[in-house]
Amino acid sequence: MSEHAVADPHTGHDGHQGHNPFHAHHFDTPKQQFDAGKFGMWLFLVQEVLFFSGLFVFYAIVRVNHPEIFRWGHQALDPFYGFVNTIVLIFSSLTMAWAVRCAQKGQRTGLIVNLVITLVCAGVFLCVKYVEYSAKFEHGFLWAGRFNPHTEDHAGDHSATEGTTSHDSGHADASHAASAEGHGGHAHGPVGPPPKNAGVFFSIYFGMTGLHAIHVIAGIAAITWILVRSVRGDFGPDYFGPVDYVGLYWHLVDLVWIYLFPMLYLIE
Amino acid sequence: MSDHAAAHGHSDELAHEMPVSTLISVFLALVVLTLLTFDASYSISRPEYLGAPIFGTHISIFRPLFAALALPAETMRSLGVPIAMAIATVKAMLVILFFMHLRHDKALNNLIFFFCFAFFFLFIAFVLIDTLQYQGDISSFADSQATK
Amino acid sequence: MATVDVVRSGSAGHTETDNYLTHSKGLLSWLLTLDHKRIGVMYLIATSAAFLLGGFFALMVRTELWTTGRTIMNHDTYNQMFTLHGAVMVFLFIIPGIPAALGNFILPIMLGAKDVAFPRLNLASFYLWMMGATFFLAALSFTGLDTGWTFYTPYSTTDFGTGKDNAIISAVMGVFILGFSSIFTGLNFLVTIHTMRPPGMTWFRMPLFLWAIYSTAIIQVLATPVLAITLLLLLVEKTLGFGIFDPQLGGDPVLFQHFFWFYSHPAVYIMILPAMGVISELIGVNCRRHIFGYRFIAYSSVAIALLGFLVWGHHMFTSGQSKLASVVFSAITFSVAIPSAIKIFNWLSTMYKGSITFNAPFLYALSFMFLFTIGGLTGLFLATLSVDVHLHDTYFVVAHFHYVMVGGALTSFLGGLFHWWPKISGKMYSETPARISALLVFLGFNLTFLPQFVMGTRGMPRRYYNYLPEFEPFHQWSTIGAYVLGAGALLAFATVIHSIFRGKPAPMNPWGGASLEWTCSSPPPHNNFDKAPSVEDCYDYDKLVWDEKTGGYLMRK
Repeated sequence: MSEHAVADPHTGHDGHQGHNPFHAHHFDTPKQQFDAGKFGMWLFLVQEVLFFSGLFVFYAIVRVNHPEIFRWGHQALDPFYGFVNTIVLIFSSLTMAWAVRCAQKGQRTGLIVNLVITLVCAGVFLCVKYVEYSAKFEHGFLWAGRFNPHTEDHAGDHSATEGTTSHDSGHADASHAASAEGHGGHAHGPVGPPPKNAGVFFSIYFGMTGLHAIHVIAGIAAITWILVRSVRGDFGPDYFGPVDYVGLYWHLVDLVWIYLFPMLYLIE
Repeated sequence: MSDHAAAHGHSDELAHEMPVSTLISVFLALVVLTLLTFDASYSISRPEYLGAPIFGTHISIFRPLFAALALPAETMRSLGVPIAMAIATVKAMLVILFFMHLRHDKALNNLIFFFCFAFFFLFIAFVLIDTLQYQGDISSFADSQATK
Repeated sequence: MATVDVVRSGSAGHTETDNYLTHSKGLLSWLLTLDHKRIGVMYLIATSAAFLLGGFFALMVRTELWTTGRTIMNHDTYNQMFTLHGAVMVFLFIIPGIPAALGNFILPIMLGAKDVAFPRLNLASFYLWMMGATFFLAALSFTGLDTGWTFYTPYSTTDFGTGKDNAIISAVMGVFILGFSSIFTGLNFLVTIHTMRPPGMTWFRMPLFLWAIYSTAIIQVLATPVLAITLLLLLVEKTLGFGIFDPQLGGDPVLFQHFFWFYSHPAVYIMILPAMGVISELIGVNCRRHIFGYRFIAYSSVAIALLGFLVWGHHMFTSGQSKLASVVFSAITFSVAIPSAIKIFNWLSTMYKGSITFNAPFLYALSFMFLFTIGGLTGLFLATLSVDVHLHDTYFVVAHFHYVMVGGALTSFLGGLFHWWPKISGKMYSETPARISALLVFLGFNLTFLPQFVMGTRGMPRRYYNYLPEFEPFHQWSTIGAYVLGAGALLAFATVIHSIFRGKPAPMNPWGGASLEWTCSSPPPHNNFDKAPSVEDCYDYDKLVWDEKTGGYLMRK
């Protein structure tokens, strides 16, 4: 019996898979392992779509029943920031897709460079979000329970607020100049008194972009993990599943933003 | 090792490789579509908007289109959401089909991903139908409270 | 190549000693195991413990209702008891009970796979379950969770300024985490069934239990994320005041019910579909007859899973939902009866002219058919709009869903446990106490819930602490029944535990099952199958003959 115990079936199977240290024993072929992982990742993305769906339902209901809330509220968002973040995320999607290609072809340097660029883009995205959020906090444009706008007529008070906090007026000016330069002098900030329940717009705004930002942060963690493994040289034409899967996740994050941007920043 | 690879045949390639040219073209298309969604939105909501100032002139796709159609202001406004959503969907499809390789992926993965949107729309549709129905009750109640 | 030969000779000899239980030793070899069988066993222990906890709360509720007014506790404690009973039973026992515990153990073996597709994720699901359960226990220690298991707003989002707030937050966090445990389990099973089938295991050769688990997994992946976002919104509503469900801030409390039931109605099918899968196996094996209408039973599982998404509004007929939506939801609800009835009739047809063995698993299966039919038919009363207006929030509803959840899910859990126990533990349980337990569960259950139907039609509202004196006899019958049911369940667990120490070693195939799990040793070896098993019709019992020597069935030569 003793020799049987030594000849553990577990190790026996390594005979035909020695060329790939990441081949899990319960899969017959690397192809099966890759397909299982990919199918699993798509199911996870399905789960993500339905996870976000709750907020989209809430958006649709408020949008259809109370369009005036959106007409007023969306003016508090600067489309310029939304535009920058859109381009940044689309670009990071490009580098992520490129990283997958590099992994498939075994180009380690290209893989690492692309992943680093993706990470930088994710960081830029979060920085822009931080700037936007702090402006909202500054002006009291918060979710329904804390909604307390400090400026009654924001369009006219641009110079009035300038002296209050230099930090705030600084970036408000920058954004103003930027949007003015691109789109013909549109002053941002809600015009007129807020309609009833105007705070709901910011509940939606913070809910949707907040949940998205959490996904960006999770994406940064996942890409960092992939980056570490890339530097270690784990990936090649035989084994690049994790890069592909993380890539899919990152594209979904981009996908959500592609909808959020017009829904929150542009549609009146 | 060699017979192992031979047994696998073409399935040795685990997934489709997307050419760099395709990736970059998709990226550029996404940027153009992003600008286009701006153009549509501004053409609808901002009377002073003439188009994107490029090379000393104003370039716009939607503004001349809307001018030619000469739609009433309310109709124009109601077009905002469908146009923005349509452009966003085209962008999303580009990302899904090319960046996410779904065009070259298994039929099953295509099926489940597009199938899940049926549930998404089911959710939105039923809830929307219901809330639209009872919205009148809420507003009449709110009015009666206000008059008290 | 030499290693392969050694393995082959090894596989012939290891059946006696090397199995998943003896493969490695020590506590850590269990806690960090990636073996689906060990994870299944850990789930089995954990969900059974949750069942006993939830059962304890149920008995507390029933004891309090023995007399009108105060019997053993005040009304606040009573409210907490029924909330904890519902929440623990639903989220910690019924939902993970059959898929995560029995499913984890049986599914890969039945499929002919070495493991689930993602063993690490499987272990992670288990620890997510443990984390969720911990949050629940924390809610217990805060005391004051009295929202009911549905966490309806605006009550749950009200700022009480007491420990109740913490209890609600903690319980909601717990359910959120349990939701992800459930999603990952479902995802794992879907991938396993799609990609890990050995050659020859076509879709229509899969045992019906796998079809049921497959349908369940679809629901878990599609519906549970909606619960997750709902609870997340509830949390930000309660802690930050997001105003999504609060009418004072422009939100909509009916919306919460839409969100909640978009998950929780399909979740009812997460509870019952695996149970139906278990019953399909029990009926086939113990009638020694090919399951009748295999394809219909398989398709009806998928049909129930998909139809289950279209009927959530029938929980909201009296909540302020619009008439239009109510009518639509009511109409669709009736259609769910069709696939359910298809299953019942096919099982009955399988029994016809079968050579039936009345062992404990089969007795549980019989109870299931009887109780589930009553539960399903009373569901039609409640789907009827005008009747529901009269019966909603009464004991009729309580009795109805207990007939489905306890009469359905619990009986099949116990039946499945007895059926696969020889495979799980390698020991035969003692048949007589097991049969008595089935009888006690059946009688106790009916004694508990039949009077509740009567009370419900006479207007006894659910969740009430106090009641009119005319209901007292019904409540007392019900309470006696609850104790009998509890005794039956305890006896079942005692029988199972007793067999670990005193049971005879189990043969490979004690019941004459034809699916793959009966072709490997009891308990199964660590790797399940050293080479892909050959797959034949899993309901063809003619190929098996009783072998007196081993006390089990063998393949006909």
